[in-house]
Amino acid sequence: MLPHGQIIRGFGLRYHFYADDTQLYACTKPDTSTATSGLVSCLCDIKDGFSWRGTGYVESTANSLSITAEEAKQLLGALHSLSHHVLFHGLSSPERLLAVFPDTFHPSLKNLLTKILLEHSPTWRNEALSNQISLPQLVDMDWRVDIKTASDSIARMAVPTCLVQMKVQDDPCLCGLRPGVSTVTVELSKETLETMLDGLGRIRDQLSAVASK
Amino acid sequence: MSPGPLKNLVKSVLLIPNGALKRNLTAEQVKADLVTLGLNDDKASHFADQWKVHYPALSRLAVEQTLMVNQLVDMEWKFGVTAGSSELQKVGSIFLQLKLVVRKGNTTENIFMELTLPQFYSFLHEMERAKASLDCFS
Repeated sequence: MLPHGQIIRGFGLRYHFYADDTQLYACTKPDTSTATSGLVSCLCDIKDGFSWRGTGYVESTANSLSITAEEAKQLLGALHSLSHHVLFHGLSSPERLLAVFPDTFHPSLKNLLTKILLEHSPTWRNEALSNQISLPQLVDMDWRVDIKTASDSIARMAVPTCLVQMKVQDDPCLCGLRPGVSTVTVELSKETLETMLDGLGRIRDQLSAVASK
Repeated sequence: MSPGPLKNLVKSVLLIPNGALKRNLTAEQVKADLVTLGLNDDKASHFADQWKVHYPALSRLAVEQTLMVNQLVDMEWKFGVTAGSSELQKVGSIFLQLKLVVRKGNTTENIFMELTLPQFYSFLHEMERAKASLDCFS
């Protein structure tokens, strides 16, 4: 459990933890610039608490290994660079991983680290793949078919038409933890839908051609 | 003849075909209406024949003028392979990017989105189901 309360108190704010949300209280003078900067730094620190740079990890590492905070930061930074290097180059065999360490490295520590890195690489790779930058992503899609029976230009007709609603989510990497979802509703006539399916069918054929190569 | 009265005259003349189109009248009904309004017989029959010939095109035009909200005008797409990223040197996953051009009032708006491969297949599946449903009703 990360000491959120400690972090928040460190910035001079007060808080209330409820079951499903947390409220932060900041007293402000008429000049509010200092209050907002304190709030932003506090939130950044809490967010960082989930990463190795956060004070929580550095302190717990320093305490459990009996080293100074500086040394703990160095250690965590080195581990982070190592795992990043392994993931970037896709080192998946033990020989290649062992080759990364210098010759003077402690052998059993080298073996232990190699084992841990090998074990976790697939999970990290999948996570990196799902967190890539991208254009707004299609999240959900619904449709409905209507029959237009009358309008101001014709009193009686029976024209089918299709309404499609798509939910598009902005890139989560850009918007932090809560990306916005915008909804787009479009209307298609029968001809438009057929043309669209033509295009989608061509995409499918090209995809299967690429996949079969 | 001066343009003002001519304009009013043409407007009132156009009321007849517009009304006939709105109420889906057949050629015989149009002819009967014209005769009641005082047009002589052979002119009314000539007009009724022209009506029969041009009725499908006219009704199609009227249907196209019906209100369509956020009408999809065009769709562009591209798909490719992600080669690498700042986290992973070799990625190799397939992506699909769609641009939908939607008419909003008098202007068009572009909507861009990206789909992964499974999302594309379910999108295609849903669109085929919508088309099957549309085909049932026409």
